[in-house]
Amino acid sequence: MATIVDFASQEVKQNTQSLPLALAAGTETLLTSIFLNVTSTSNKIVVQATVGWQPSIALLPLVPKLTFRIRRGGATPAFPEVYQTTDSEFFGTGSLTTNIITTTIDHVESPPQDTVGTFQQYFLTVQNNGSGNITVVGPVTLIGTTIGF
Amino acid sequence: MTVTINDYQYQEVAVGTGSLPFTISPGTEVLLTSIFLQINSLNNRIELKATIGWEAVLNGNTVPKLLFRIRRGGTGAPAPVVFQTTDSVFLGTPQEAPWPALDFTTSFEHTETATQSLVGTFTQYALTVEHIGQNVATITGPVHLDGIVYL
Repeated sequence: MATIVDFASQEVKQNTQSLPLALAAGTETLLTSIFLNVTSTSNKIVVQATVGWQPSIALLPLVPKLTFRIRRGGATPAFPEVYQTTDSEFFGTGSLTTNIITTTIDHVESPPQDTVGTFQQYFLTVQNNGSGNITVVGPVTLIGTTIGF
Repeated sequence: MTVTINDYQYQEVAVGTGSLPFTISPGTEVLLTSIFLQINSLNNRIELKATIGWEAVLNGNTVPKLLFRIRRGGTGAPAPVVFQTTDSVFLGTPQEAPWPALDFTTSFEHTETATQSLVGTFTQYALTVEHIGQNVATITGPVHLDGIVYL
């Protein structure tokens, strides 16, 4: 039988705190982070995130691409990237309106030995990898659960 | 009332690892990954979550439509489909080509109640994808499937 060892969450609603947040092209930007208690290598670290984002109207053609990462221990490329995925939108040559896109991701990992007995920090970051500007409009939600066996 | 976790399993293949990336063409259901969950009561509630990263590029008439299925008890027909959903994108017209490849992330959830025939078994849940559009798409990853059994 499994038990929930720890649970942590962060949520930033639209138009609160730093949102909306314009992203500089090519720069990895921290959105939020959580701490999770790791008690054993048999733990399962479950991380879920939801991010609302919007490409900006500018000179066409545009190919907005947003790469999502989860890093452990720090928010910069010096720290391990434990998850990555990319979402994008076709803008075409004549689109004059922009859509808000909601991307949801799920990640699970078994913690390495050197993290046992610590509160590990998990960071959600985004990077504008396409052409054109992207704004994170929110919500930004990061949820983590440590399941123990 | 206390809810307990009876079992939890996951599989995750990161971008560019394992068999990733691979292309899929219309007409074939392809196994992505699977997990086994222990079911020990008719009162069990099973929750599954999946995330798949995929890519498509405009090349002539490209209409990527990906049909994602969760099958129970096997990785292909005739194992029953307990969940299916389709995701697709508009990539533009051939006159607008060429475009760089676009990447997409599809996430979904499924829940079900245990049935008598499942009680006392480790039941396999398989995540599959079938391209039902035109031209090809690429499964780039990540491929993620996790399952939890509540009592």
